[in-house]
Amino acid sequence: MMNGNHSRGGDGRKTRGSSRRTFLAAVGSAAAVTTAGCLGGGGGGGSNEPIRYLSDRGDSKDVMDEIIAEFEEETDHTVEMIYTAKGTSSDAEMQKMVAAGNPPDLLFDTSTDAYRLQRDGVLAPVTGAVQDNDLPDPVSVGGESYFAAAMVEPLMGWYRNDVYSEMPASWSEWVEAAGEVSANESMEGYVIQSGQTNNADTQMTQYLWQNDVEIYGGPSDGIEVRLDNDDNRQAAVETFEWVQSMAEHSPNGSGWAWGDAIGALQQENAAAIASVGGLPILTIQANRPDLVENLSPMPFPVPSGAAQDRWWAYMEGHLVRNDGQNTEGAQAFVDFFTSSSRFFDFVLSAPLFQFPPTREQLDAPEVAENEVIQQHPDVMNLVRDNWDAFTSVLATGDDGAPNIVAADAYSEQLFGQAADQLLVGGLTPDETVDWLAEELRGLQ
Amino acid sequence: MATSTGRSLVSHDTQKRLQRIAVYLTALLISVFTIIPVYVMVVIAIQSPATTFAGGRVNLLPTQPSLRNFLVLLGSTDTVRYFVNSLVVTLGSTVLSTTIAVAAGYGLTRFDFTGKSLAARAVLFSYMFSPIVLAIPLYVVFSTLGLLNSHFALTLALTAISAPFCIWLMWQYFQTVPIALEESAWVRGASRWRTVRDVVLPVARPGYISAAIFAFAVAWNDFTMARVVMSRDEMYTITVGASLFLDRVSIGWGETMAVSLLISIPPFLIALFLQRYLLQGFSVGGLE
Amino acid sequence: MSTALKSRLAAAGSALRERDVDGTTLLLAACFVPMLAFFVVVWVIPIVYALGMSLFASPVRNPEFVGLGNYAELLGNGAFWGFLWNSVVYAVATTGLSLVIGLGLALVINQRIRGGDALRTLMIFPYLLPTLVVIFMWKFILDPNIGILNQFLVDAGLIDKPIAFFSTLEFAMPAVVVTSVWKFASFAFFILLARLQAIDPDLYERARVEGATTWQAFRDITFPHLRGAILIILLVRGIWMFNKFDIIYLSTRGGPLQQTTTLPIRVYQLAFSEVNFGMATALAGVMFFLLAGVAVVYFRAFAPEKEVA
Repeated sequence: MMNGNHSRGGDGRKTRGSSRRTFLAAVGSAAAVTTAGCLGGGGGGGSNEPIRYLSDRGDSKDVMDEIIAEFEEETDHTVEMIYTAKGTSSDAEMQKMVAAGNPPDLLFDTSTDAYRLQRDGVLAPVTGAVQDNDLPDPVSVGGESYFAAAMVEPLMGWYRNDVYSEMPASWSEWVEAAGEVSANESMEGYVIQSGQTNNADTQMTQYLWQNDVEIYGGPSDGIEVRLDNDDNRQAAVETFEWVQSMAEHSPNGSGWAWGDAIGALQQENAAAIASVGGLPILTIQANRPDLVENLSPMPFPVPSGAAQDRWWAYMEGHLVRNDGQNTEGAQAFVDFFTSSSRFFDFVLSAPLFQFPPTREQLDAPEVAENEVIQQHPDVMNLVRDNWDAFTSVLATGDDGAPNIVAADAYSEQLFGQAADQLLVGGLTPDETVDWLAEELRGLQ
Repeated sequence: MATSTGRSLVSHDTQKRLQRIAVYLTALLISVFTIIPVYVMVVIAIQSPATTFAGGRVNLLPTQPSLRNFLVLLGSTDTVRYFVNSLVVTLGSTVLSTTIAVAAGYGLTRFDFTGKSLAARAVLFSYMFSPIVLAIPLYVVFSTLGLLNSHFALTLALTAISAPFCIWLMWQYFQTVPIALEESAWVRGASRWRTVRDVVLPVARPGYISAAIFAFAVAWNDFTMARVVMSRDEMYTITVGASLFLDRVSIGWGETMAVSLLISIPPFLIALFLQRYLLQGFSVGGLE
Repeated sequence: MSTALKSRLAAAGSALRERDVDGTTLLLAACFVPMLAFFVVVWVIPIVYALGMSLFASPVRNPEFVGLGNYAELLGNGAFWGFLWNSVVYAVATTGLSLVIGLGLALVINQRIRGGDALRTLMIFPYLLPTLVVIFMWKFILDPNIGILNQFLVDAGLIDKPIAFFSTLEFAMPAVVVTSVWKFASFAFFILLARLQAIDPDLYERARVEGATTWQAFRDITFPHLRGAILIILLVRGIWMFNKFDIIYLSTRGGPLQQTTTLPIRVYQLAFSEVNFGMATALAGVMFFLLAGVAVVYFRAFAPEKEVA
């Protein structure tokens, strides 16, 4: 419920033309007259409104400041940065600006959110930037592209190579090996996360994918939930059973955020975790440099005989709102950014965590020359080998068609909540499948 | 006076001793409860994360102090700018709030008018008000006037929270300032304004210092108003700016505690050097 | 305030007005215009405006008058009563615990123990520390993996697995309460200490001579002197805690599963996450009227305005 109402609120916003801010204006104008004299000074100067750019990439601030400086030099636009905390709060910040009748022009966000906003009719196309640079095109509607990818962030597991003499691969190997670690070492064998958090949600979705559960099906305009139908129910139940048995060899990870699992690995409370890309190694490098050589990246555990054919990857990039003060300027900036020579500096400001958006760019010299990446060749190998399996949760309709139900389910973190129902709430795996399917249908 | 009192004396002594032990034990427990978090903050701020987390335990006995965390703050965050913003709005609202309070306090005690108790109730009512409930309409009003993201708007918003208590404090304070002083100045032919400047303000000094301290503390402490009024990075105050630090990959607990330590410096100085003014404020009610 | 002083002041006030030779009117204006202007700009206009907004659906972008519809929807929704309950639990728990700790410490320091002055200075600190800093400290201490509390509890064998205090259903509220009490216990402490030190020592001396026990002295001398202050603390601190936003927002954002969502958190969510200013201002309105109700009780019971007017 907490983050869930954008989608429903969004329907009302489709009728853009009619939204005159009459009530606000009536009260506001009277007061405005009195203060306008002394405060209106800044408005008259430039020919253009500044491009208001909302981003949660505080890590890349320095690089972005440089790119903006170049852009402002070459054009007569100015850019105004607004940083927010990572995750849902950036969405909240945007909603806040929209509510004040002052929407941002440019956003850095996920492809999933881009699709939700496109459906609400508030995005302007960035087709040129996408086509000229051969970017992936996840939000393509009526021949126009609404999302210019800037980076890919795949999930990735990390395990202690000194605790596990050999990396367990299959589900059954993992249950056995993690059980041994929990029994014999002073740490738990694995971390199962649950609750209304992004990490629990992504991981639970990935576990279902590992057992080839087709959660959804159908085209974009007719997405149906198939989690509990004849073909999938058994596989979904098996998945929850496996999660349940792994949870016995895990700390109580209910409500844990990304950082909590990394903390467990760092403080040697657990011998393996799932996270995003090299995030754990970047954190642990700073806090426990002695531990770095004992950590290796790994794919998700997989049932014996099954293939690793879908691998959760966030795709993040730029989208332009069509109701801001400087839509054209924002589009120009996306063009400029995407073909900028500093593009790689931006992506590589958090190496091993953010990867370039195309397979070709992955082999670019800028990537190969990056020092941190050179130190962890195993991460790059894992990314290269599985590149084709990388899937955005958005692209889970038939043949990868955009899936709005999945996008909404992610924003409410229903899969993470399902794991909580199972592990904390005491539902059986069977009941958990029913609970989840019902919640998902509620979104349709 | 012999045996019976003797017996009761023993038990009285024991009782006294037990009571003494209980007193010191309570003091000790509460001190430990108060000190531990501050101690943890300081230690983590002044040693590098690698030292803090070495060996998989949190090491809280500082063996290798280092400025590393502060250097990272200076090098890769806008901490300095956030501090400047905080100082601007804090000083602005402290001056505004104190000025309003001194004027109002003087007027309310020196002029007679009907509806005084209504005024007192209004001040007390706003003093109990919820900042977030005020923040929502202020946000909408400021946004209508195009005042979001300005020091001016945040200064007003912060003054809105601190002024009621400051007024209340000065109101009470001026009652303790005898009017005789002013009367004798008038008798000697001093004008109304001169009397205020040369007699009233000097005498009221302890009062308005304590009002200023409370106004300062409210503004420096504020997160709610700044979160709502400021959305642009370069306008963030230190509390809002620092609240976003932990979301970054490149910033960890070391830098977070370092910035916390920096934020704590003004309160620390107040506690050390201005506590009697603060205690005076508490005798009138204290603040949210 | 004594009646003598009061009439003296009133007399002086009229003396001021009569001697309007050198700018008393101007002085009058200088005293009251800033305060009145200020109150109108930052209190009256916003509040009236917000109450107006609460009568509209989608008041900012697409206003549609719905009368008391928002209020009806709000109060008719079961979730509201849950949030109200959370607010009450939080307010009662934090105020109660702060009072117990503050009273305990005030009594201790009033015994003039060694180090008492240092301890008093120490207690100022939590109260003045910005909420954000307090949250950082306690998030670190209570963290499931790097937190020293979990480290201690596991070492001591009291728990098997670390607990994520701020994000576990049963511990989130207690964790927020402990964090809040740490910051706000000093409030009760300082007010009560001031009252204790104002008690005439002769009273205790006389009681001692008459053979009263410590408990009797507390019951018959100390407590009656503190009763008013305690009631004020319960009331005013209780209201403030009921209205507290930042400490909860920064520690749990109202989670997990809205376990710590109080009314102020809900107002913020409605306004800025769900962008429903109609409902947000309606809820703010409800809080406004709740406060007004409590204020009436407060004014009736204590007549605090008597202190000045």
